[in-house]
This record gives sequence, C-alpha cells and structure tokens, in this order.
Amino acid sequence: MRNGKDSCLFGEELVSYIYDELPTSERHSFESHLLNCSSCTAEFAELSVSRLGVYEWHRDEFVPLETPRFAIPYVSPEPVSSWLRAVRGFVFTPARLSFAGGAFALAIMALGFVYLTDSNSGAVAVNQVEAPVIELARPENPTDVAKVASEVSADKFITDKVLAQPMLTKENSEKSERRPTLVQAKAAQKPSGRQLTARGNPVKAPRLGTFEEVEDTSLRLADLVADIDSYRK
Amino acid sequence: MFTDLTDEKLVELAVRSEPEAFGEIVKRWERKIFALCFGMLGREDDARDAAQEAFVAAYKNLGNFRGDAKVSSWLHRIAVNQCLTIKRRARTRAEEFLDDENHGEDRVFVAAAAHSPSNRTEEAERNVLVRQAVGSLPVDLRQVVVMKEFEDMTFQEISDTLEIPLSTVKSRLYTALKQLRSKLERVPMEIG
Repeated sequence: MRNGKDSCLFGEELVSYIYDELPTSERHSFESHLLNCSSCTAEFAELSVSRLGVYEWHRDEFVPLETPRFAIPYVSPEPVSSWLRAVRGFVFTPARLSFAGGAFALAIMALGFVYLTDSNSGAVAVNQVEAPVIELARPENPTDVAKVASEVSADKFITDKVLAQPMLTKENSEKSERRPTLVQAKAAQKPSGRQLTARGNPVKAPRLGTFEEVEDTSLRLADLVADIDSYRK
Repeated sequence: MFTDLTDEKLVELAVRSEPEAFGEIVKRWERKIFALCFGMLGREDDARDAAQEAFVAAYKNLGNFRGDAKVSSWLHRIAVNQCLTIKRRARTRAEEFLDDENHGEDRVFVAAAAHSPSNRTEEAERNVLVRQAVGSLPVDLRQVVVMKEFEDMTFQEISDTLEIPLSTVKSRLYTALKQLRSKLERVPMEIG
C-alpha cells in the first residue's frame, strides 16, 4: 500500500506516525523525510484533518457521557450441562425426528397387521369347529324310527330354534299346532289394531315389506330319515 | 473478588458455578463497548441500547464461548452485530441515521437550525458532519476508526481483537481516513 505519488512512503507508516505508534528509530527517519517531501507532507495533512475531526467528535460528544449501568439477568443463564437441554438436543435432531416418525409408522402398521391376523384366525376357528358326533341307537325295527327321532331332538346341540319347529312325528305333529313358531310368537306380541303411545299418539303399525326373515336352521325330516335308512343298510 | 482473574477465567467461572463473575467482565469492558457502539451508531441512546443488548446476548451465550478466541474479540463481535441489528431495525422504521448520507446532510442542517441554540458553534456543526461521515464508512473501516479513536486501542490490540493481521489494521485505517477526508472536504478544519 503505497501512498502513490513518490512511492517514498507507505501509508501504514504514515498512519502509525499520526497515531504515534511508530518506533522511535523509524520516527526520526520519517520526520526527516517529511520535511523534504511535499507530497508526503500534503498526505499527512489530509489524514491529520480526518483524524482531528474524529478526535474532536469523540472529545465533545462521547467523553462527557457517563457510562450507563448495564443490567444483566443473572437468574437465567443457560447451563451447558443441563440434562433437559441434552435430551432436547438429542431428540429434536431432524434426522432422529424422521427416524422416530418412521419407527412409529412401522409400529402402527405392525399392530394393525397383528390385529387383522387375529381376527382372521378367529373366523377360521369358528369355521373349523367340528360338529358333534351324534351317536344313535341302531333301530331294530321300523317302529323305532319315532323313538330315534325323539332322541335326536333331545340332543344338546339342537338349539331352541330347532325345537321351535319340531319334527313331524306323530306326537309332535299334534304339538306343532299348539306351539307357535318364532314368527308367530313375535306376531302375537305385536300390537293388534290401533294402539296409542303414552302421549296419546298412534303407534305406527307395521307396513307391508317390513317383514322379518327367520333363518330356518331346523333339521329336515327327510335328511333324518335318509340317515336312519343308511344305518339300517 | 474476581479482579485478579483473566477474562477467560471469568467466563469459565460464570459458565460453571458463579454467574456473577460475568459482572466483572461487564465492569472491565462497559466503557469500551459503549464507546464502540457510540462510534458505530453516533447516538447516545442507540449506543446504550446496543451495549446493553450486547452484554445480555453475551451472557446468554456464555456456554457457546470457545476458548480459542479472546473474550474481547468475542464481545466486540457481538457488539458490532448488535449495532448492525439496531441500524437495520431503525432503517426499517425510516429513522434518521448516519449512513443516510445524501439526505442526511440536508436533514442535519435543518435539524441543527431547529434544535440547537442560536449560538451553536461551528465546531458542533462540524461534529455532526464528522459523525455522518464516519457513519457512512463501510463497517470494517468504521470499526477500525472507532476502536482506534473511541476505545483508544493500539494497532496490535485491534489486530488481536478483530483477529486480522496488523498490516490490515493499518491499511484499513489509512483508507478510512482518506475516505473521511474526501467526505469532509467542504468542512473547514483548523489545524494547529
């Protein structure tokens, strides 16, 4: 960084001289040069004017100012070794966040898979329930058919619905006239005629098309007879 | 209690167990940091705010202080950043500031006539112009001028604080004074 004109001085030395930071030995040689070099003298004067301006500004406006009192909140310094900060730093790292999210999604998927598998195996188990073996006494003559049928009807795996529609044995055929089916029983419970609610509004009567379907799960007589025939043979 | 300890030891103490040790650092540097802020911003109230925020920011970030830098360098860097933040904030509020050179000169002359007493001296007006001229310097040049003139630091201290070579400090100061002279050419200066 030369000062340009005569390349006789370096700006750094000029600045050092202005701020009185030039070593004593260099200072004497610089001063002797300054007396003989007009360009260096001119530059020295320019820089000195600038320096004087800043110096006066500092002296007039800053020096009279008192140093303000600075309040430091000593209560809330952030301790470096805070375990909470360490945990926070560990958990909230972006890479770890995405990893945790992925792991959570995988866990949810695994739970869903296990749940679905369990429910399917339950369905299979229901389908795989073996039908109870019905041991029938081998009838010795055709007149025992009715007796065998009554034994079958008394078997424990026959449900109430089956009992609601008894087989057409001689004895039961008479009962069937007396014992109502489920549909008949519900129909009997339905209000007959026009009834009123507690507030006096008419109860809506069942309309056509709102009938109830009852699955017929009863044993068929024909199948039973065929079964008995097969035992005979 | 803490007067014998170095700045670095004080920071270490403040981080570990005794936050009050930072008070000694504040006591040591408050005048210089306030001077730096005043030189950078040119206004007392802004300088006070900047210095206050700088010390608070330094205290809150004590844990981030690395021992490889000097405490003075670290404080100066924080203070200069706070000054720049305050200037930026003020600029968004469209306030008057030093670096607004083109409009600033007209405004200052109007302001001087309006707010100063009638016997305001030429010297006071010149101070206003110098303040504006310093404010219009680039930050790196302004910082060196302010550290030299307001903080009364040696070239070597500035070099250590800013962590730049000694020759860079001198060349920056040389350039800054040259630019200041060109900005102050219209202002008569009495030498000697």
